[in-house]
Amino acid sequence: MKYEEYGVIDFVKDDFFVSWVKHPNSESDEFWREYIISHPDMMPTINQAKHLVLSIKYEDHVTLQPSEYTNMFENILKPNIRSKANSKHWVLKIAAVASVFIVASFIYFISHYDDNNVQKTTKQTISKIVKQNPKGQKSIITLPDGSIVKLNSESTLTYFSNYGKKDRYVQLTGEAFFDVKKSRVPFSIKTKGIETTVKGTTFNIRSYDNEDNTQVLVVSGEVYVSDKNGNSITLLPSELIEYSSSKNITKKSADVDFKNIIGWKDGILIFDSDSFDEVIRKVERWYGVTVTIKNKSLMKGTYTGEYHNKSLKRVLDGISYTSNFNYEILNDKQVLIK
Amino acid sequence: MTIFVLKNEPLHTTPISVYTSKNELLNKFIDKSDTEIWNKFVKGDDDAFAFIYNKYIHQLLRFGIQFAPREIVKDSITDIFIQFRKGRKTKKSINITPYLYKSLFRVLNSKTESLKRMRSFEEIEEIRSWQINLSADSKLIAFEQQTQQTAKLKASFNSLSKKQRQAILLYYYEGFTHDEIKGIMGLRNKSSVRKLIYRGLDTLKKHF
Repeated sequence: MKYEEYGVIDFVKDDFFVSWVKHPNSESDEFWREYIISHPDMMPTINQAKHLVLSIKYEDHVTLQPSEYTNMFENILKPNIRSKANSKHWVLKIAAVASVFIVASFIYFISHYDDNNVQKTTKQTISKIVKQNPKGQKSIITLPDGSIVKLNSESTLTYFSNYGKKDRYVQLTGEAFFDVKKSRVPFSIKTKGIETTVKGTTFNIRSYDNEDNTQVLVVSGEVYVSDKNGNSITLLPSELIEYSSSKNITKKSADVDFKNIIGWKDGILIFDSDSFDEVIRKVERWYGVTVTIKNKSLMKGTYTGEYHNKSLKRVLDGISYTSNFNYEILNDKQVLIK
Repeated sequence: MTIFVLKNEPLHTTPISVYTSKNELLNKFIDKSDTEIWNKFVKGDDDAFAFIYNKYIHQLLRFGIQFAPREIVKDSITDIFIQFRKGRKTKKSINITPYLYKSLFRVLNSKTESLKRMRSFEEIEEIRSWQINLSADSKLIAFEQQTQQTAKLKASFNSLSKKQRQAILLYYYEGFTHDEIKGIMGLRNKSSVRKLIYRGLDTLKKHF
């Protein structure tokens, strides 16, 4: 096929074209310059192909910290000293892998031997543990391996009785702050749309059903996040990602105000230029009340404020003062704004 | 290329003092050919090894991270460098880059396969790897606004099979030849590599 008949992808597939785009030399430069001059109508196609060739990249990027660089280097040179311990370590490792493989293949074999019977048996031995917080309640959960989860209001954490054996897997709706114990066994959290995996770190995840975005903020350590479209990214401390089903994973800049996002776990209720809607939602969730608004025209503007372990009345006093409305707390669970 | 300063301190009981300053290391090897550096390395020159380590560590990490999380990749890289250094006296002259990539590919491929097998009984969405990004910019932390068209094209790229994506990235981004890719991915012959790339790209023709 002649170049004149080429489409964008045909150029992209062409070795000579690709080597010109990536490593031009005087010969290839001359060839393609001549070609474009004599076939000017091919220019848009060639430009698109060139752009495509140059834009193909890895999605995920990392930087090696200086300490990691030197630690790895030391570990490479060390073997001379720890060779005796090393071989023991290797034997254990091989034994572990072999036993996992044997168990895995055993289970595989059995499940194929008698499908129905075995499915029931395996399902019976594993149970689900659900920790649920209604609005107005926060709690601290300690997982079997010692990892600590601070669960926010209106949130649910689910894990299974086989937690910690081969992996540490939990499901979250709502918001939680995780302090994951370091272990070779990976710890993963499933939230709406994305799955987060860590080895031992502290970070915050926010994924409420009634909110569009899912948000992950890393405080220490390193977190690996992926969505069902296969996008994935590794986050370092103070990095934040947001996931929404329309935009997939987007990474925000790394200078994040922590208090705004994780203040809740220390009893700090923060409003940061929040719309009235958000303010109401936060109050409802934090205190477990239902807010009814008589005069909808009051719901305009934004509110900023910070409350450390304050009562509902104090918070409403503060907001109503600046936003100019009156309120009434009825029977402990309802608020009326007029 | 960034070289981090390695100080002249004895670490633990490491008898080898390969720690030279950044400039010394650069000066020692900057005008040496790959073959000369290789020869020194094979003879036991640990400065040459340090130079090789420094030259490849960043791209190996970047390559490895496509398979698995950071800690697993770091462990694997450490392992392959240990083997690489141990067996140096017996090595003939080789092309270092594809050799290191091939070793890392093999190690990480098998590690991630066994990790997948160890998953709990429930249907968990697999952590996908080897995602392709299309961008003119290569800023590490950037909030990118992609046009609708690029987004669609990117989604099509990422719906290709993992092997196709691997071959495409190794060819277009890492810049390996078909022959080298065949070695890295452990494929039968060069035409297998071409097939992966061409068949993958052909499915994208609908976008143009």
